[in-house]
Amino acid sequence: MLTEDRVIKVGISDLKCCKGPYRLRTSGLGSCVGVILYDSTAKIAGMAHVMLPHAALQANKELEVPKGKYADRAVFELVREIKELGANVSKLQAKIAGGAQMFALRELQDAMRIGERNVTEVKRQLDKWGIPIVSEDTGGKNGRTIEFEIKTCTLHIRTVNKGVLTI
Amino acid sequence: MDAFTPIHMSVLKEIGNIGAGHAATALGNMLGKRMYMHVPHVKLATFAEVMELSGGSDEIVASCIHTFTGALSGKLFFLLPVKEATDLLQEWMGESIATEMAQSAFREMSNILAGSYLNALATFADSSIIPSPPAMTIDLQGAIMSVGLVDLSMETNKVIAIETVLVPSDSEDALRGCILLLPDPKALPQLFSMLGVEG
Repeated sequence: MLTEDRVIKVGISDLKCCKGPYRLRTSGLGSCVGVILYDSTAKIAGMAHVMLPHAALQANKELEVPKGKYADRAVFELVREIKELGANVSKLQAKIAGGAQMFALRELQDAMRIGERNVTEVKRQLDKWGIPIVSEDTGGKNGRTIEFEIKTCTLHIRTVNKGVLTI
Repeated sequence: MDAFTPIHMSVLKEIGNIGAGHAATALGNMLGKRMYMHVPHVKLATFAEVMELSGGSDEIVASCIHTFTGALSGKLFFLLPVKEATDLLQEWMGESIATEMAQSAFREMSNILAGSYLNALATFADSSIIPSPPAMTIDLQGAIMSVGLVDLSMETNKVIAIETVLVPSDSEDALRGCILLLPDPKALPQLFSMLGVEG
């Protein structure tokens, strides 16, 4: 995973888009899902670190909504920002990773099912925009740290047990 | 609850002091060595900041999560870098952390830590706090913490994090254990009023 390209970090519930030879990176995907949209010709990409499926789940309505927190809002924002950078929306493709179920404890059951629901909602939103998912690494029991290389449009996924997987 | 005064923060720091102090003693008794703790850090942190606490989000840790309810509700994390957890269990019981037996011992260690931490805190508030049994995993720290943050995230974008680092007396770095308490923001006003702190 070593190269000279600059790394742009995307925090939990955040979203970043950029153009050029960058690497977009997010750490600590548990039940969260990392969504990457990219235009491989224009070399423009965006990454979101999605925590929850729907903005409607927000109990505190006065709370500011971070752009990447909810799947529905995050995909919308990714498309909007990536388009502003000059990407051709009809050429957008996606890669996704995350949505693990790390614990099997009754008390954490709500949090447990979130991974699966996040993946389902991300896919539904992408489908709505007609954006194909080129590859994915979702589900399972392990957390992931991911890095997307815009130059090659490859996604590197680090997990504890499987080393680094490139999709 | 969004506005925390310096008084609130120092009460929370004291909570960390009392709780982690008892937890360190209990762990020390269990392991047969004296444990010390660093002064707790209390901060109002974004989720991204919480995930970077202790050894950082990419560190592989052995960890347990407890949820708790009562005078205070929230989550307690016990985090130990996997290298240290491996050495500790090897020394303590001669088992690799990969075995069911060692993981069961690790859970028990976390039970004792969480029980003594929360008990001390409950006694301080003259009430009770009940911890859940631990959920255990060995994984990337950030991913582990994010799972604990999911339900809090429907209410808030920032949480109060009370972080205490435990170290044995013989060396500074041999056991960088960390206890992280994330109180449920909705439960804090009640705790403050039980402690007689003006809101």
